[in-house]
Amino acid sequence: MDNETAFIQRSQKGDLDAFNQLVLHYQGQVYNLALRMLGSQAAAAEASQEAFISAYQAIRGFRGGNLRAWLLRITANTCKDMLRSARARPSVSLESLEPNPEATPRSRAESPEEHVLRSELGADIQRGLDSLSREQRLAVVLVDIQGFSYEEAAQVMGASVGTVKSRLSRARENLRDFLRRHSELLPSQFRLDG
Amino acid sequence: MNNGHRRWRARLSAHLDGRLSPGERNALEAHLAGCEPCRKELAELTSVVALLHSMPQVAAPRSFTLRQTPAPHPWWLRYEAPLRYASAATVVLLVAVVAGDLLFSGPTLQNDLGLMDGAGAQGAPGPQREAQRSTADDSGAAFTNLATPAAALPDSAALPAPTSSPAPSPAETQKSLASATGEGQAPSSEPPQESLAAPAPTAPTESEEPTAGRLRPWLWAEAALATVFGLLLTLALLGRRARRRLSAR
Repeated sequence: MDNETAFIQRSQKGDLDAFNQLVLHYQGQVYNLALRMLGSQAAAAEASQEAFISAYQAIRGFRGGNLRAWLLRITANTCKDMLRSARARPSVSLESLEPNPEATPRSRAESPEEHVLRSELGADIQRGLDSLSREQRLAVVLVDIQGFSYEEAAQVMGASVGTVKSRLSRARENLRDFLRRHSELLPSQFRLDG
Repeated sequence: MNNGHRRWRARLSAHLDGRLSPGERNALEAHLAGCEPCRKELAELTSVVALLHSMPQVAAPRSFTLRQTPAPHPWWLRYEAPLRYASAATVVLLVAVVAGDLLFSGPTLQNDLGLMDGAGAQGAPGPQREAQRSTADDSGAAFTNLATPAAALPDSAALPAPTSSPAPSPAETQKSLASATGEGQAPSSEPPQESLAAPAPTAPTESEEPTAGRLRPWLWAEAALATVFGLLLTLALLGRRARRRLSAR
């Protein structure tokens, strides 16, 4: 983001408009992390709002560095608090999960049937994510869904790169075991031999 | 799966992401060349990662910009979690102190309770009972408030002389009475007053001061820990309530 440093400095002085520029830039990533962690759009929206409120209250303590990792760490902690207090009720509404048109473009046009299949598959993957522990879920969401490097994921998780590596490995194995039990929904190119 | 395979399979995930050192990568690839189960495992993990990569980025349902400046957190709110842990630690310490009190001060505690029972069983508290209490805790601890100040103690001649109600009257009581009223009488040589004539039914004088001396630190510790726990718990609960209020927007 251009002029991010300037927006941060102005935010630290109490400029709400400057902070809202940062919100607009990062809210997609924050919301997606919360959605994959909580499995519920309503809970993800609540967590995202709470995360930005907490970020505004804490931004004076931000000492520079990776703002994205800092924001997502706040988001992850907010999600963990909500999971702990069991306010999140995992439920995925397939119809309202509209993909972001600015996201990574697909290589070819998708037929309606493929779209439905992808939506159902996405719901199954989300159920698989819900079956993971909080720490494993966070590792796989950050690295495999959000595309973070191990180092950036370690910053968000407040852990070492080695810890990220081991949690990610176990998360992938557990997801693989979960998806084996639902292999009938997997497209042929993704089919796992049980 | 034997331990050898487990060791290789633990590296498959990092290998997918290109996070193995050159030496580790070469060793793993050499193993994969001759191990079909591990190759199958690698293929499955590759599929899972590809599936995860295909998960779409979902559009935020609305804007999360802040409409008004949020109220600042109370300064102590950031310590909510440490306060909870401190409360729990204080409870543990309090339980330990109470247990220690019961274990190590047991006999003296019983003595003390026996004294209190003996005093309490005699009806309305009178000057002589209050005098006994001030004696039992001569250094002025827990029972000081109950003790009648020396100046308020009646002159020994004015003490009633009931003979029907036996009063446990250690010699120490007479001693403190005498010194308080300034009569300077030696307790051992002085015949006991009629109202204080009954012999001490329980422990001898020498045990009472040590009893009081051993008991007080435990009581103070228990009272202090209970107070600290109450304060910490109150702050933790206030913090939780404030956090819920701040987030309910």
